[in-house]
Amino acid sequence: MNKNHFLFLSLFGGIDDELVIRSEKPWRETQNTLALRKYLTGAACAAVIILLSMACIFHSEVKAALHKFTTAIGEMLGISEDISSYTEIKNSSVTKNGLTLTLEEVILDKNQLFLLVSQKFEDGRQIIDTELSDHVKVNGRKLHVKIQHKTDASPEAPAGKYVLNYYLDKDFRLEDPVEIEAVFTVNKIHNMDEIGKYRFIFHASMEKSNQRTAVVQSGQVITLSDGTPITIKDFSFNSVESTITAVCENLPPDREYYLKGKDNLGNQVTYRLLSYENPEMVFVIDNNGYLSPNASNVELQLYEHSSLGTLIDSEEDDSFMEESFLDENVYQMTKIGNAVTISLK
Amino acid sequence: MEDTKIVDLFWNRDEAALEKASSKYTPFCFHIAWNILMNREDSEECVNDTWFAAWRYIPPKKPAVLSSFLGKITRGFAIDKLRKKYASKRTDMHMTSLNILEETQMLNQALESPLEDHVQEQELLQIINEFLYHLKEKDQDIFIRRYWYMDSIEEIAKRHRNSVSSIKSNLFRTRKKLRKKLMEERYLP
Repeated sequence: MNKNHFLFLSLFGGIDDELVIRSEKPWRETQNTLALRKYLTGAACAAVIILLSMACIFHSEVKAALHKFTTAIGEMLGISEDISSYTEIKNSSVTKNGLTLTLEEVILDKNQLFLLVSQKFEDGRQIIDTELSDHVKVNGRKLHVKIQHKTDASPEAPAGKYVLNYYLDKDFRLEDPVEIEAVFTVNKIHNMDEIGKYRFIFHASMEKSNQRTAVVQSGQVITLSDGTPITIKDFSFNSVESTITAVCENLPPDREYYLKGKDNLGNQVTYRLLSYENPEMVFVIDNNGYLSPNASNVELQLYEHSSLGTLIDSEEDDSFMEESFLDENVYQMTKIGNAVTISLK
Repeated sequence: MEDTKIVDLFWNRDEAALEKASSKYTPFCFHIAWNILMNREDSEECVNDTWFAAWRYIPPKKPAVLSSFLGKITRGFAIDKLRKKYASKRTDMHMTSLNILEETQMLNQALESPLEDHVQEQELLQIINEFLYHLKEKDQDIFIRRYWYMDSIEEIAKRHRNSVSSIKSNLFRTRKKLRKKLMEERYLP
């Protein structure tokens, strides 16, 4: 350790009174912080990808009932159906500096890539808390949009597991097989020292998920309040994912859009706008809902949340800019246009 | 008794100030000291020293927020005691404190040379304050509970109803951002 181990702690004691007092109070979760992330693609256009922060509007819990799961990814994501036919079991491992990372499972879908990574310390080595950062490329292109889940330590996985979920935007025109390069950097959480970099190169196939993905073409039109039409193009679904693509020229920026409704069996579903690259829109199903594989149609209504509130934070790096908004009206959604019914058969 | 009235007692050199301050703020100050020292005798000593220190400081100081003022004094005493224990390699230092010392190593390194000049201490504090105000509320709270109040990770996880691993990750990311900020500011004239 350096010569004055208490330097930061001593200095930190003098922070503003306001900050000390705020944290002295009991914590009250504010369900109204939204994060809007814009990825920079191409020369001039920005793909707007709207991510809800931890305080998601329509859900904060994983699906309650896990009837069965056959893969670890399915378990971690709360998917109740058998998705073993979608996953490719890799189980390739890299060991460095007493830590072994294993790429256990891969699911490659048209719009998403899921990776399951586990870590194990060598026998006799102390298990320490780690932070994993990633650099993943598909056919040479870096993936950005990602949600990362991590399990706490368990007897089966004392050092925890990660599911990394990436969104593949429309520029990923993938042809089977797909080459994926994943480099994971593992740091010790307590002092940020790097343990090692772990590189995996492998191929994955969309064939399995494509075989089980139903795609229905729609063509129905929703008209916004200013007369702008949104034309629903495709509706695709399988046990892992469901997406709706649409086109809309010059969609008003910095808003959130949702398609909410029910299938004909009464299951509530919600799709949220994940990306918009003029004019292409992609909605993905939200974890809160459930679309039955036995449903024959689904009725959806478009909602808009037009005021994102006060900008409270922003962050930038080479590939994206993220803005966080304190939104006092987070539950205010405005119904837009006409409802549409999409036949699933 | 309202804080303004207690401060007035100190200001007017009325010894009732000590009794009023201690009866209102002993639990608060004790909790701060306990988190750092995990030793009843040492914590009580810090708390008792706090009232007499406040008597020395007021006047000329006139704190706007008495709880924070007193809490900072207690925290300062507790950190000093911890520093002495660490220097003498005492084995009764508890895990939370040891872990926090390890976590803040990188931040100590970022602070070392600027703090050779005392004047820069205030500037650095301003940078840290600005950094904290720009954090999301949750990240801010987690960071302050850990490094000001010296809560354990488990306590913070319970407070936020999050997993232990997510709190650890959160702290890691915030420390990284702060270190980057401090390193950038070091090289400014």
